[in-house]
Amino acid sequence: VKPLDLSLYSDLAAVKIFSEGLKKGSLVYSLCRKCSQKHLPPRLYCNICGSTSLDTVEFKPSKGKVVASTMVNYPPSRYKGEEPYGLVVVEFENGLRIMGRIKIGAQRGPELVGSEAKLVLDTEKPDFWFTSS
Amino acid sequence: VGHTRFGRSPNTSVKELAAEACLAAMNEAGLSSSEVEMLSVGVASGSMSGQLSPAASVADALGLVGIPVYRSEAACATGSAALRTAYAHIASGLVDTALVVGAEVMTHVETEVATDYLAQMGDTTWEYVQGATFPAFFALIASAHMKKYHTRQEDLASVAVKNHKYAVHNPVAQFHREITVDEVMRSTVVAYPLKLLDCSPVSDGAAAVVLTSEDKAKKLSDTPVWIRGMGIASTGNILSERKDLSTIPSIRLAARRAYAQSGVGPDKIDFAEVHDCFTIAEIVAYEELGFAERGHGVDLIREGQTELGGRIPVNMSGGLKAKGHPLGATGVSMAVEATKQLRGEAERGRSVKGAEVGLAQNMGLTGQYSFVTIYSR
Repeated sequence: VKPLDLSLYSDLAAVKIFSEGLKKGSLVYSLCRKCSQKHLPPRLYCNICGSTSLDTVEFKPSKGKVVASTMVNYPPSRYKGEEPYGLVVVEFENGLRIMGRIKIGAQRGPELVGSEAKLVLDTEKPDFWFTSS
Repeated sequence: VGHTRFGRSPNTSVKELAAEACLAAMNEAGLSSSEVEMLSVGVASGSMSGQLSPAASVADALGLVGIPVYRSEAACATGSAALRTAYAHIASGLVDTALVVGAEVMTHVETEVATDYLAQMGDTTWEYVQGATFPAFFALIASAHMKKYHTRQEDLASVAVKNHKYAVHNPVAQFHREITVDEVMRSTVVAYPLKLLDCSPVSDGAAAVVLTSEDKAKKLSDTPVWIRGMGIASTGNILSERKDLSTIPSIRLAARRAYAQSGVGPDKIDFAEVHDCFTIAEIVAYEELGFAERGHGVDLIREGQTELGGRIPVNMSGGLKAKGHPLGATGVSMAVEATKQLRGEAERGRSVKGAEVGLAQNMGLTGQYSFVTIYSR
């Protein structure tokens, strides 16, 4: 099985919006002009009210709160060799959440829930992940 | 009803397994192929079986050509989707009699490849690319549940221990081996806190039922089993967007609809088959189905209330954990199990005596597809 080719996916445009933000050192959400819903990950179409008018909003959180956490020992093919790695859902101060990897040492999961995670951005790649603080 | 043994079947195909289950179902119902007006097929992943459009191959094997034949898909709830397709045809009067078959072949590819296919059933754009796997999704749910309600890893392990205990008595189950909490705790960590023995296995297998109208059912059988209600619900595909990861609200919504249609509440259910793809999912199902309040699902396991003889026996088949989980077969397998229990045909050691009403909860992904079906004698 070959690693996933992201260009295959129809919401590539949304991925591009997100990646452009990362290059500038920001995360990006979509704000619906009609119903004010914030979408993270960004969307091209508001799945709450059906509007196609969404603004791209950059934000620069330095940290967030872990709301769910695991350590993956058997990864999908594209992460083969990187296991084990931490995977978390993090909630930022604005209430938005995202799934991402977290650099942690030991086998941890539920123990991490409720703790603070620092956001790390790589503007070159671009990529993002978390570290446990 | 018909059911193949679940497990590893290296020398067969999804077509042959499906045909075996179909023939058993038709034979048991005394139904000839000329009486079958449609064939509703559930196979979740053509990719794992190497037969990308399996419905036609199953129809061909059975000589069921000329009638409507196609496949329904809802990830791990594919079997229930196929059942619903037939149900809707019959309820609307389009046909009287349908043959429903769910089947899957998962062990013909390497486990690593299967892991990849399963992971890609979830959101691929944002979550798969972060390294999320199917076990990881449920591990995230487990972590939120454990933090919020002080659920322990041993509680999760107890679900697997219970389900293995009853699978021993189920001839079609993949595992005929009891396990202990200690064994679960010591098994390989897949996605912490979920260990290998918290996870349902990859399985090959098929299950089939004959579904027909009320009039025809009374002619065909002295002991028909009725679908009293079928509730279906869905939810968003991005796990991180959910407000409370310790719950799966689509199960609750599907259950509410099934209870409303059947006029039966959770207190009137004599037994349940629930979707224990991972042990945490069974605990969450108790809570969403209304067997316990949120946060109190573990009490049922700790007190033995979901054991045979308890308040509501759950997964007397062995569940997905120990009976096996050939994705497309599972929803139909639950219908077969409900039928056996309601007819008093379930084997000793796992038979719920005098059961009148049973519930089956089948879920695709982390609740993106939720089905709750209520069966009665």
